[in-house]
Amino acid sequence: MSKLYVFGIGGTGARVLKSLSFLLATGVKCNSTSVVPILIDPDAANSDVNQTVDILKLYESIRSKLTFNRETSNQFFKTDISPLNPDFRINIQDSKKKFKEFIDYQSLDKKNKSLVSLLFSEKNLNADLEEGFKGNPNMGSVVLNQFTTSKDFEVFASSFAQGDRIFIISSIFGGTGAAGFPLLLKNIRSASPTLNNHSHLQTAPIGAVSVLPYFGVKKDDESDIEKSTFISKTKAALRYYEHGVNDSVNSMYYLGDKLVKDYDNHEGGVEQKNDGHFVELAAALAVLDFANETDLSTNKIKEFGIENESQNLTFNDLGDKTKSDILKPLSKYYFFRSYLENALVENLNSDFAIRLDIKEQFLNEDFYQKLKKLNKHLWDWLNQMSTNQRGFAPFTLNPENDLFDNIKGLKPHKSIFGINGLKNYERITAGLNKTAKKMNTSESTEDRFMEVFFDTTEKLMAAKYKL
Amino acid sequence: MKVIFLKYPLLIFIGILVFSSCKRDKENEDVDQKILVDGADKTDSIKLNKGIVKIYFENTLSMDGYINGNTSFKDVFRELLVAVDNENKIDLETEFYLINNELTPTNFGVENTKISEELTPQSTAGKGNKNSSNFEEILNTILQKQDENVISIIMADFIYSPKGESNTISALNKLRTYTKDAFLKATEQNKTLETKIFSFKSDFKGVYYDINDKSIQGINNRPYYYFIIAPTGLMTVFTNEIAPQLKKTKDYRNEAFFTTSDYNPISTEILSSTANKGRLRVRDGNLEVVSYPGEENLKFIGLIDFSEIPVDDKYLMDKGNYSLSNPEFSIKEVGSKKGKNIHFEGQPIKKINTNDLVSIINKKFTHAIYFEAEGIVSENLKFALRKKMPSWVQNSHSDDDRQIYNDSLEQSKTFGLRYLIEGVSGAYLQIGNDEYFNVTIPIK
Amino acid sequence: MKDLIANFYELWGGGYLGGFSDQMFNNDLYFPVALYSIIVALAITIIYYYILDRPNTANMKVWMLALLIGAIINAVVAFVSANNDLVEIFASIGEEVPNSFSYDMLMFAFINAIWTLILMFVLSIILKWKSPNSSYIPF
Repeated sequence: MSKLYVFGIGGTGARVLKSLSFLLATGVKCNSTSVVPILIDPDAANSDVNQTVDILKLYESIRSKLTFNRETSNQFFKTDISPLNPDFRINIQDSKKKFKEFIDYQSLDKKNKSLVSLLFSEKNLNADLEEGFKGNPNMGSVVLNQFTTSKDFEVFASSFAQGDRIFIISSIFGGTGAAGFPLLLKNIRSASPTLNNHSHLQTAPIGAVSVLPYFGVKKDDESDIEKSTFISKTKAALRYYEHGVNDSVNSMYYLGDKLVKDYDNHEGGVEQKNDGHFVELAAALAVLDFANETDLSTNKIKEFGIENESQNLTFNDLGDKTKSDILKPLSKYYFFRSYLENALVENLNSDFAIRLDIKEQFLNEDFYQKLKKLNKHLWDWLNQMSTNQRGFAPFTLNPENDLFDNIKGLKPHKSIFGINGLKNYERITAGLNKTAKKMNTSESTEDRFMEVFFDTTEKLMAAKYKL
Repeated sequence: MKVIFLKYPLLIFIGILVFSSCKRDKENEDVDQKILVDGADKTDSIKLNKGIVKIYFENTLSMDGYINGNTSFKDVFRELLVAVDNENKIDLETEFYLINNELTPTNFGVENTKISEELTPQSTAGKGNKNSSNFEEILNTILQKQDENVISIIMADFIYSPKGESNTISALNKLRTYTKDAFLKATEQNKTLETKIFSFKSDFKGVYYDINDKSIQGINNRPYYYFIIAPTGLMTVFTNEIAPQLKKTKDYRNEAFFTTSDYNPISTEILSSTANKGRLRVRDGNLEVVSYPGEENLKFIGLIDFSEIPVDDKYLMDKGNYSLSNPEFSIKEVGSKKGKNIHFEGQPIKKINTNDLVSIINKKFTHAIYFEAEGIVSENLKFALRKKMPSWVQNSHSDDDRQIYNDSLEQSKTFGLRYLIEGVSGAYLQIGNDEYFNVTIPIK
Repeated sequence: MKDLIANFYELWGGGYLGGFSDQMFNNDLYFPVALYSIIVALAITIIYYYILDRPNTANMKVWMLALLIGAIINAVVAFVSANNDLVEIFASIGEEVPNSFSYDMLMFAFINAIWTLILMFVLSIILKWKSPNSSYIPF
């Protein structure tokens, strides 16, 4: 029984948590009993955060209908994701205020006002906190500090048990993340004695990933955010981390990339919605690496590498461990999703569907509808990563040919006779038929559904690619 | 890809099935042989290899007219002698006797085939009393000399002479009784003894003695008879090897046959498609009436194999000689089967329907019976050929020959013949059963 | 046994075709047709459920096509077999097959086709259970 509390700070935190939930959906291994995502972002309307919350809720709802025990073989959605808060996010109090109201500028004496003016620009002071810190960690650090006295933090501390772990995701060059990470760290390590479990918190295993610049924003005079400042801010933050952060963190993960694509320049809100990027997936892998780490006796600092420096990554460009972690789960889920999208409806009269009692009615129910929605998000995510720079495009996403030719770099085994002579979705249907025959049909429809697809895609990987 | 590869073996497999059902290994037999098997050669099955033909000539005055000069009688006799001599299936000896109150064996000093030439009123004079004609004694003598390797042939006119009897009828009855007794005794000793009677006519140059012993001249043509008595095997030899020559002569008229045997089973087959009225189905020897004809009676032909029955065609084809136990049925006609055709008298030749021909491949039949049924059939068809005196006997019989000179019809008759033959018939009916065969055809 | 097979083809008297039926029965011509037809029906059923079996053929249309193919093959088998055997038999007595038999042979082929459909339906029910993809065809 060990939980993993994952704090995702700012936009990056949200996008990494999104990647993490997709990886968990595909069944990538995580040794934690459950993952507790906590999103921290004062920007209530941030599209990335809101989307991540949607996805986490979908995941939770889907998983609630599934059973995982000795008898079940399905590993899609195996890891439990449970919320601390109803919306998976921490409320930042008083976020509707302007910054200067937040720091109670008006009540400061003249000397302090001058100091404040030194530290903060006029724009800063008049900034609307709802929109986040727009790349100003100095503001962020002030606002986020009040987190430690919040109700949410008390709740977090109360639920924390011996053996639980904590992971913090943040970007080093941005606004919210850059400020929030060290603050959060400090508040956990120096938890007030009045808090429950404060001693556990002080000694808790903590991992963190700091994402270095991997994208830029287009030049926009109206916007406060400018990409030329990203690098300098990164340097400043790293200098601080060297002394103030690294000692408190058991496993520190650093990630970044050379290529820089410019996103449209939005300061926040609904419009701040970045395309999925491979770096976010790699950061999610850092979370999992920490969750699965067995030796926490010494502090470690880790970096992430790939095998081939390619503009458009495929599985073969990844390092062996990365490949072995994600190739099968992602591929299997790729087949799963493709079948659901393109073939399931036509095949409701197939042997497996009749045998497992998967009817049209099932497709209209809540479980399946939520699954479809999550799959759409996942598909968008794959699409975005494939067109991004650097791109991650392990699959040919709009195939005209055989589905099994679509994992780049993998050549499927084909034959003339027998089941492997079938092509495309027909081959999957045949596999489903075969798997269903051996299945115990006493489970719920949802369990049967997931199990038949999991087992079949598992066998497909073996039959087609010897994996 | 996979589907195409499997289609070829499938096609080949189906092709093999189709073509092997066509191939059949059958010998090419002669077409005619299959359906022209009308009769069998029975002589081969005889176990005896030798026998004696004892020919008896009734040496009385009334017989002189048959042997006076060249007569048909002598011609036929010669045929008989030659046939016996030429017969080569078994070894036959010929013995010739003159018989009246004495039995005189003779061959007139010539070889067998020439005996008929030597037979004249003169050469037979002085051999016993030519006046006496005690039929009873003659018969007894001959039957005593009958043996299991003997064919006895009596040549006589068989005119009864009721000497001294006042009541003709009671005399005739006595004739019948004596004859019956004689044959009963003979067949008691040898149950297989069979009797055939041939009737002939011949030109006659002599004196006719009527019932009152009055001599009448000027009768130019008279009937005479051969009584042939032999056990079954030898009778078969006679019938197959000798009788045909006699029957070929222009003056042969009729035949009667008596035996204790019956000839069951004989094979029959109902034809479902030849000249039938109503739809029939014949399966495994059962007849099923699928549907009755609308306004006519049910009719059908049954083929039958009479090759075993040593009875002449005239008897076989006389429908009066058959009995049917099922009152619904009657026999319309009895005809003969030759090859693929059926001949009914007075009707055009009917070719057997091809379906029926197929059904009777390799089976032999000699005759055909045309059955008719009134109404719905409720019982099986059972019919039999009765052993009867043939109808010609009555026609050749005379009760009173005193007007013979004026009555030309009377000239072809023999006084008392019926009683004589009834005696023979009575003996046989008493010992054996009264049917040559009977056949039951189940009807559904 | 001979009667039983004949009853199937003659419909227990209802389909009695006169001389043709008699010839078929008397000359044991029903048996090879029945045998071949059963083999064909069995073979096609097994092929459908176990050899050519795949998701794309696991539907009513293909199944009915398989039955139809079986029926057609067996109609041909019946016609050709009866025809060839009868021609040979009639030729052996120097006769020709009656013209009316052509119609009868067609009826016979038709009846064989119908029985094939029925047999294949029954065989389908019996054999479908372990079929990888078609175990719910026809239901």
